[in-house]
Amino acid sequence: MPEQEINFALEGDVVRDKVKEIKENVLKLIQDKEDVQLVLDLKKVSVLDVFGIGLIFACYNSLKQKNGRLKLINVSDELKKLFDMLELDKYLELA
Amino acid sequence: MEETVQKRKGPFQASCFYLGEALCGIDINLVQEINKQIVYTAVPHAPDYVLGIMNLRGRIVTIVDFGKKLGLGCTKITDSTRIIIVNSKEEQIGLMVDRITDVVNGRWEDIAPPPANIKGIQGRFFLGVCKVKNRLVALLNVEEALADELVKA
Amino acid sequence: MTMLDDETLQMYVEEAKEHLESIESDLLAIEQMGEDIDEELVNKVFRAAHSIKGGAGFLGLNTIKELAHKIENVLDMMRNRELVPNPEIVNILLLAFDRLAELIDNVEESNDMDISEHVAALSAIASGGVPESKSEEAADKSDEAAVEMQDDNKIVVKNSQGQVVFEKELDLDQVTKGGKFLYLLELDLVKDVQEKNKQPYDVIKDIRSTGDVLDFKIDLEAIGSLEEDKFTKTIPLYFLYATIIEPDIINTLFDLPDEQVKVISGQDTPAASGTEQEVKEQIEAEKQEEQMQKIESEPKKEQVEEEKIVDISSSSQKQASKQVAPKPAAKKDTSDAKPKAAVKTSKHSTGVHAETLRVHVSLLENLMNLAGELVLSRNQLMQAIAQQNMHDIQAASQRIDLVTSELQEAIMLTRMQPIGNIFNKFPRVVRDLARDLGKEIELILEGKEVELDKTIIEGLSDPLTHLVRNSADHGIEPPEERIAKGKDPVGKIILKAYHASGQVNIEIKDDGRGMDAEAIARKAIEKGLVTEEQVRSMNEKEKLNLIFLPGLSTKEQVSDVSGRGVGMDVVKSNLDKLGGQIDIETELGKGTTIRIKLPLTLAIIPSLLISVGGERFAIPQVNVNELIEVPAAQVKERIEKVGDADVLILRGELIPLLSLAEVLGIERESKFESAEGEDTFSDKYRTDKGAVKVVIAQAGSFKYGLVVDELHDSVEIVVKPLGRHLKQCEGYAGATIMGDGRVALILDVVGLAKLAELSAVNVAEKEKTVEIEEGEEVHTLFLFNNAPGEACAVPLDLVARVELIKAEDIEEIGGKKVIKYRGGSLPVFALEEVANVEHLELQGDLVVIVFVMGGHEVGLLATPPVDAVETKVKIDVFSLKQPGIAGSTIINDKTTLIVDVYEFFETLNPDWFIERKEVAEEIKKEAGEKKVLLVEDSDFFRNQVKKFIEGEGYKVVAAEDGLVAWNYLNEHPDEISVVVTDIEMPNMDGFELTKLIKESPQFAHLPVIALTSLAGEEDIEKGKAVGIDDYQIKLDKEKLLQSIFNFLSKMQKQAA
Repeated sequence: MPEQEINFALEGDVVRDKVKEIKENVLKLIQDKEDVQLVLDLKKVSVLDVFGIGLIFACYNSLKQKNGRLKLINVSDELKKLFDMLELDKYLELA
Repeated sequence: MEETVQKRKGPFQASCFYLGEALCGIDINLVQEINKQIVYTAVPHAPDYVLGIMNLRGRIVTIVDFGKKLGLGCTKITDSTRIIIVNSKEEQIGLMVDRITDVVNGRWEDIAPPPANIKGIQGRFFLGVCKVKNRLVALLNVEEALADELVKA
Repeated sequence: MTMLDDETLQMYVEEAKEHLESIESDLLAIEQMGEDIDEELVNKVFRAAHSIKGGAGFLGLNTIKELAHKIENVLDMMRNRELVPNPEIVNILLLAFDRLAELIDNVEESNDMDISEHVAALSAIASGGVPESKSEEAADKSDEAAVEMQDDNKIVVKNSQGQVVFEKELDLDQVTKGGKFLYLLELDLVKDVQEKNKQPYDVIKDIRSTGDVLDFKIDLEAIGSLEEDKFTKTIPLYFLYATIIEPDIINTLFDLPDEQVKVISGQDTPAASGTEQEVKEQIEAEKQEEQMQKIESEPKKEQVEEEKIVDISSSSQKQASKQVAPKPAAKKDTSDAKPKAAVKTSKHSTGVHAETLRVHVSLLENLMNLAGELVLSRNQLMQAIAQQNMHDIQAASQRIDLVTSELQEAIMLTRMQPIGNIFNKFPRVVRDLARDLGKEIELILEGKEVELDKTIIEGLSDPLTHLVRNSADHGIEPPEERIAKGKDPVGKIILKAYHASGQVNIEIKDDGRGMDAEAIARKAIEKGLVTEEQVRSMNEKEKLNLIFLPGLSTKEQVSDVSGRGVGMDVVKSNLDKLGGQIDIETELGKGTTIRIKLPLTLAIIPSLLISVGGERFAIPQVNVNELIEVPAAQVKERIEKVGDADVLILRGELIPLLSLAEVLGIERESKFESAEGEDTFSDKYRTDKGAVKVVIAQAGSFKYGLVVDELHDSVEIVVKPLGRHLKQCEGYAGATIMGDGRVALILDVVGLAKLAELSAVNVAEKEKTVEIEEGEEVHTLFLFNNAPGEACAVPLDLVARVELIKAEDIEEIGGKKVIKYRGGSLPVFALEEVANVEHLELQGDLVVIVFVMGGHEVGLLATPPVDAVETKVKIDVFSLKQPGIAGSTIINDKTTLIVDVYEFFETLNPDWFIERKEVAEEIKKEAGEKKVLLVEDSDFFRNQVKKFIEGEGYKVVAAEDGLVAWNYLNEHPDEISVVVTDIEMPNMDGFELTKLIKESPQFAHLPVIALTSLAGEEDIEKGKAVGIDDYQIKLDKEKLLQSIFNFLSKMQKQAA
């Protein structure tokens, strides 16, 4: 099954107020798509709060339902430290 | 399940010595003293890495051939051989090593995870390695190094 | 926290503890008396609570004050007879006092500790409410997170909604070692982090850096997917977290609500909110859940001992050692981390407690005196040295020596505590157990005043608890079962301590089911701990002792009461550490008695110093039975081989020998070589001069001879433990530092025997079990089978050697069977060749019993196994008598044929015995009809001996008693040339007869040969004293005949 790769770049503050919007955007991208790998580019992300974390997990859950995968790229050192705390690498690919 | 990543921060001092060709270090807080006299009473039927026991100011201290315990061959006794008395689990244990070198200063944060094998000694016995003055010192995990393999008789 | 003056606080705590000391037994007594309220007693308890309350108020210890106040209320009602004490109420009071004790132990944190449960329960009583039944309370708690332990070290952790969060294989003991606690932390990133304005990274880092996160889970389901909106509301994370942070402060530390921090296990009483009552109910809830969720717990018939269930009934252990303050923190760390609800140590409380000891004032005065004496002696010594007065120096040093020893003893005595200290907790333990198990048990305590070293008492607490629990749990049957068996429905457990032979004995005796040795053996085989073969050769005792093997549990279901993962093996190893021994005596259906023997003091023991290969060792005097030096000349006779073992013959006993050098693998300095042609097997035991030095070592009923190079002095030594790397060495009980500063190992007598695998030939032990009545014959017989199942025996004295061969080794040469043997060939025969016995199938493994007959070595074929037994021989000479068979007897309930070895081989090879016969004929011709007077009261032996003496060609006059013999002698003065007499006879024994003979001028010339089955030193001495000329062992025909021959030919020569 060829896998479709969808890229999406997150920008700015991935925090409570913005999260809703980002959520909608991502949903649009992956809705009705099976077997996709969603690649989230975090290069331009400045701040990621708890809701951001929730968002990432929710993405994961959604993709899993559709037999898809989640990958995060351009993860800054600081974010990496946070993700390590959450053992995120158990669930998705980090680069 | 071991956490080999150092969680500690701050400076440390390590007492260093050679085991075979490996330059090892032990947190100086664990080291009680270093003896030059290699004196012990043999204990028949003891594990092969136990050289014997000795009287240290009224206490019976087990003397261990440290190199042997860590998988190297028997330590040859020379003029530079020493016994390092360490505190481990409420007991004092004497570690016979090849050669003592200087005490080194380092920082816990600078410690990198140990390789799988350091000059013949398995990586699991070490907390990590750090570079001090161009030498690579492998810091020992004393508890792991002294863990007795329980062989049920 | 109020600023508390350390000293005042300490005083308060000590006083409070004193008040609390006897509360437990008082409350139990109150419970017993029920309606018959003893006002005085209730008053006593009331006053205790009242004092504690008062002091607490003064010092600002509000929690203590409140709890004490609530307790007071209930007690007040009781003493006013407004309330009748029933078990429920007393239970609540006991638990409340337990909690009060905890508060006192942690006085500095007491104000933060929770007492809500106890307050609620006490208030309920005070307001006339009936205390809730257990199941109701349990139901209330079912919404708490439950932690289930399953076997194999697996735990299942559920959150507050009852969902499984973690299922993990975990060694709880390992995890909580060193005072750690295991928690389930529930951290909601939204609720607990975001809304509290914290950073997720920081919070999680804090958790991870202050303990070990054993497992971590994100509740993805709760987070939901993008389509839903859950993730903005809740992001739950779960941590399985081990840390030394205590339950009391962890909530505050991580700023988490109580429900999100669950204590799974820990050194302290596990309690998320800190009450024991709650946890007990938690366990009840778990038990019910367990029953409901069959899926989780597989129905297992046997549970392995490793199953750990948090056992909070042991909280009663806290009451232990009231005279001794909290156990030292050090002990906690080095303990093998059994999940115990422990006495809080100075580690937990912030150092307010110092360890204290109660000592008799008289003892202190004695110490003062001795100290004074020491000072005087020291002054004397100093003066004498200054004056260079040798004599005075010696006198002073002698005095110092003496005083020092006394001082040592006196100080040791201060460490002695009455065992009542730990006994006293058992009434409560048994009471609670009985309740839980629905049984009726009466506990009797005896010997509470017996004193033991403090360290031993502390070390005994756990093993004794386990054993008492075992009795209550496995031993005593439920009342219905007991009644059905005709027993009193109330089971009895007797816990008794007493002194005996330099040791302290503790017995745990119950009149319950008894232990089934067979079941234990079967279980051991099932678990692969022993093989069927090994079990076959075990006696009952050995089978019972299998229960000490790790991993054995014969319980059908594990009750949460004693299946704690503290098996009998742990009990035994704990006792071993204390230098104690444990013994089981049981009778199926009747009950079990477990006996523990302990040394009186731990630290200083008198020992014997010995050396081997130049190395010195010490053997505790208590294990030294005797010291024997066998002179070179006697070695051949007294040291023999029996089967695989070398034995020493000591006063008729066969004592297995062990060469210490051999066991330890030490090179001996001296090498002794026997002369050519002599048996060299004993060389390894000999010193340079050829002698053999033996220490008869004893442990319990087990005895053996330890062969050493040199015996040195007896000294008092200080026992020092060996480090953990040497703990497994079975042969050592510790080490000591000698006067010259050198180290010597202390030998463990039992351990050494194990090293040498001596238990196989427990000849000495077998002999001990035989009771020897006065005047009866005791012989050592060698037992074997002709055909399998056909038991036969020969006197052991006649057996030269025993060899194990394979049937294929037998060759046939000229119609005769032989085997290759020691460079030559040995003719072998089967019993059926002479006697009418079963056919011996020549196949597989066979045994050859080697005798020396007429100067030749011959072998008798037999089927293994072989054995040796010392037994009173009641030999039936009539039935089963036939050529080659002397008679029969019953050994081990089996009819055993006694082989007449002489007759057997004579029938086969008559020509061997001709030579001596010819000479005998000669003598007869020359000397005329000289007769041998044979005096022997046993028919069997009289016949036997008579026969073979006659067989030699002599004439025999037989008398069955000394008196009869003496009379005969007097009536026929010239007839007799030689007297052969037994020693043990009813009317006149051999010694007396000999005395008479030797003292009479008429018969003094007669040689007297004594026949005996006991060739002990004493007897020989006695014999010599009365004039016995020669000692011969019964049924050693060759030697006897030789001896007779010697005497007669000597007389011939003299006559000539």
